[in-house]
Amino acid sequence: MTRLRFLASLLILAAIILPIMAGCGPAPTPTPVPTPTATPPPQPITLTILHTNDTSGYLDPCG
Amino acid sequence: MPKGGVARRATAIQQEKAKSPNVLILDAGNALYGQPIALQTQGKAIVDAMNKLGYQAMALGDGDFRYGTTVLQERMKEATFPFLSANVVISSTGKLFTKAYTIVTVGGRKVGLIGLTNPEAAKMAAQPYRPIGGQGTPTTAPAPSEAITVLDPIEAAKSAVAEVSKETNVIILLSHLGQAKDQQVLNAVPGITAVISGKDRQVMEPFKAAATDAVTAQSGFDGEMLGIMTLEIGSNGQVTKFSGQSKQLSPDVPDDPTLKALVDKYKAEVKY
Repeated sequence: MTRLRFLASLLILAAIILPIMAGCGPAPTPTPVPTPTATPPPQPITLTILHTNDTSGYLDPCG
Repeated sequence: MPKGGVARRATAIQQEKAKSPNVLILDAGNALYGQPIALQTQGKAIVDAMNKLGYQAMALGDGDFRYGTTVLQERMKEATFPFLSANVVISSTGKLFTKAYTIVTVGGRKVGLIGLTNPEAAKMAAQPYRPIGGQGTPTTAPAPSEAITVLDPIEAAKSAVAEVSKETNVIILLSHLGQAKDQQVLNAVPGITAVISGKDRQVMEPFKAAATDAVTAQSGFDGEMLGIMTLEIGSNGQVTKFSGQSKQLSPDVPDDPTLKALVDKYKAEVKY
């Protein structure tokens, strides 16, 4: 009887441990996957370009 | 009536900045060489003034190589803005002489700025100018200068535009090629929004050539004018509307005191 109890305990223990060792534990909490967000299109812009060329070393007014 | 001068240019820039939140200040090359103060300081006084004027980029023109590459590299270090050229390489190494492009952010929008240089730059770098003294006589030997090679601007522009396009669809070309060559570049290289042009020494109010959507402008010579180009640019990088003019810096534009003081300081130091 004691031997039967011992075997039954072993079986119960194996039934608990083996699935865990096999990776059959409770399902892990899912890590939230970041939802890909589309890059918003650039906003229209009004750009003012102030420009010079061929200033040829002039610091002072000329002409 | 004398026109131009950096003190008036500073005032005009401030006036325009007061009107528009999204402003770029750019130069299409040939700024450093010429006139006694620039010659005797080997362009240092010009860089000093351009720093104070708030320039954000400049293309290298052939004249900017006239002091030789060693001096030019010193000037580039002193500048608070980049000197750009996508098509000038050091002959011995094949490496770019300076940055091909820069990307700035204006009003939350990235803007790519690419420089192109005219082929005469190689000759200028090979025969650097000898600094003159107070009596107009050469005083020192020219600084050593590395040989440079000026590459095909169309191929260089294609490569630079491909790089810049990864980050933005607003691309401004600072070109010292002259307007005719600019149009060849535009016809061969799609994706350029506008060209700030130099070399022709002409006033060209903003225009779109028939074959391209890019807007081109040039603002005269000797600093007599400040070019103003306004672009309305859509999300896709296309110009939906443009306007502009070259503002003549006549005596009715008051001197900015800071720039006036800078010029006076150099005048006191430099012997004519």
